[in-house]
Formats: sequence, C-alpha cells, structure tokens
Amino acid sequence: MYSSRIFNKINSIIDVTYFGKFIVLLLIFYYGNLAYVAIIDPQGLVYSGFLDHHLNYINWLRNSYLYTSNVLAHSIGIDSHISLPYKLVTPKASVTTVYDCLGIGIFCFWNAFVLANQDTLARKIKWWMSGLVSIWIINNIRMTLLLLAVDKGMNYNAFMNHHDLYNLVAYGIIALFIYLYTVKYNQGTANLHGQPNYTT
Amino acid sequence: MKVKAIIKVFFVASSILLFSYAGISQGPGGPGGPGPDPDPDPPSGAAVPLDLGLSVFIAAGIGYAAKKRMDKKKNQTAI
Repeated sequence: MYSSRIFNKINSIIDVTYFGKFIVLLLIFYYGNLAYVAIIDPQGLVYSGFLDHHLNYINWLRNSYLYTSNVLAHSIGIDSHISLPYKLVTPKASVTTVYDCLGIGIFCFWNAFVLANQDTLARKIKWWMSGLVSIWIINNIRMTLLLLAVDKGMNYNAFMNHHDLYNLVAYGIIALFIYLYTVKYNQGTANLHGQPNYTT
Repeated sequence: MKVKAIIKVFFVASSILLFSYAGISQGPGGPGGPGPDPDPDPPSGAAVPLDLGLSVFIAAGIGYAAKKRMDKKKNQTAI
C-alpha cells in the first residue's frame, strides 16, 4: 500500500518503465563487457583461450582505433606508426589506448538508451548505428588530435587539461545526438496521435 | 519555437557537460585508473580515457526518464 504510493509518486516524476528498461540494459552491457574482459585475461580465474584468440572484440575495437588514427595522423603529416597492442607512436611521443580509452561505457550507454525507447525496429537500428559510428569517429579524431598535440609539443589550454577538453567535446556531441533523437521520437509519437508533423 | 529548441539544447548539453566535468575531476584512467586492463605490463605514454563511469550514465538516464514523463504529461493535457 505504502510502497505503491511511493512507486506512483516516483512514476509521476520519472518514466519508471523507461528507466527500468534502461538501467537493466545498461548494467547488462556495462558489466557484461567487464566480465568479458575478465574472461579473456590470461591471469583471470575463468580464462578462455578461444575467446581471447578468436573473439576478442576488445582488441578488434582497439586495433580499429589504432589503424584508423594512424591513417588520419599520416593524412595531417605526422610520421606515426603502430606499436601493438596499445600504442600509436611518433619519434617524439606516443598515445596509449587502454580499456578506458575505447569508449565502451559510452557504447553501452547508447545501446541502452536506444533499445529502452519504444520505437520501430528500423528507426532503432538507424539511430543505434548512427550513434555507434559517431562515437567511433569522435574517438578516432580525438586520438589523432592528441597525438598531434603531444608530437608538436603544443601549449595546452591553461584552464583545462587536453583530455578534459576532448571529453567535453565528445560528450557534447553525444548530448546533441540524444536531443536530436528525442525531437524525432516526440515527432513520431505526436504523429501517432494524429498530428501530421513527422518528417524523416 | 526556435528559442525553446535552443533552451532545450542548452539544458541537455550543459547537464551532460556538468556531469562530465564532475567525472573528469577524478583524473584520467588507464593504468592504475578505473576499469580493468588485461595487460600485465601496463603501457606508458599519453592515455586517452573517454569513459566517465557508470554513475554518470545512470544520472543521464534518470534525467532522460524525467523528460519523457514531462513530455507524456504534456501530450496528455494536449489531447
């Protein structure tokens, strides 16, 4: 009785159905990835050599960043090379991509955000893919710019660390994506109620 | 209408940026930072961490769920 009153009160403030779906999906993706990292770690308790050598998507993602950033770096005149498994190296500096650099947390957030919404499958796939590709591109550009900065010994902004600046830009773009999705989603919902203003 | 859209963008962006600023005060991750690193011999060099942690994502989810509730209320009153 009392608990249902609390639930109704919370439900009047936030969309509990959406948030429930979102949080379950987020936790599954987030901790699922951490569990997978533990499984492919040779020093872990439950180590799978097969997954480590054949289905190591963490390394696939890391390598995709390293090779793409290397190409981008060459395109702007930086003489870089890849030092597997972690580094993008120039004669003067290097950039290292550890787990936290891969943006897996943001991928998980975006997956949960899109999947928890009630929408058509086609639109979900479209937004899901657009978000993932955008995050991947942002991260590649970020790594390339960081390599440029450390290689050229650029003076950093006195008010903000270069990591922080890149983070702010990346999260700002993701916030913009969320906003655009919300606008499209609301237009779609309004259209369901007979308001013909949905455009694709 | 445009002003409303600008206010919305500003609100969403500033919320995320505010959260990210709280998160970055923890400093970059990587070797010794949050999150696992399967490398037994931690690499050196400039790391480029992107993730701010689960709490930021949950906070963003709560914010979005609150916005959805507000939109639903608006739609109900409009109908």
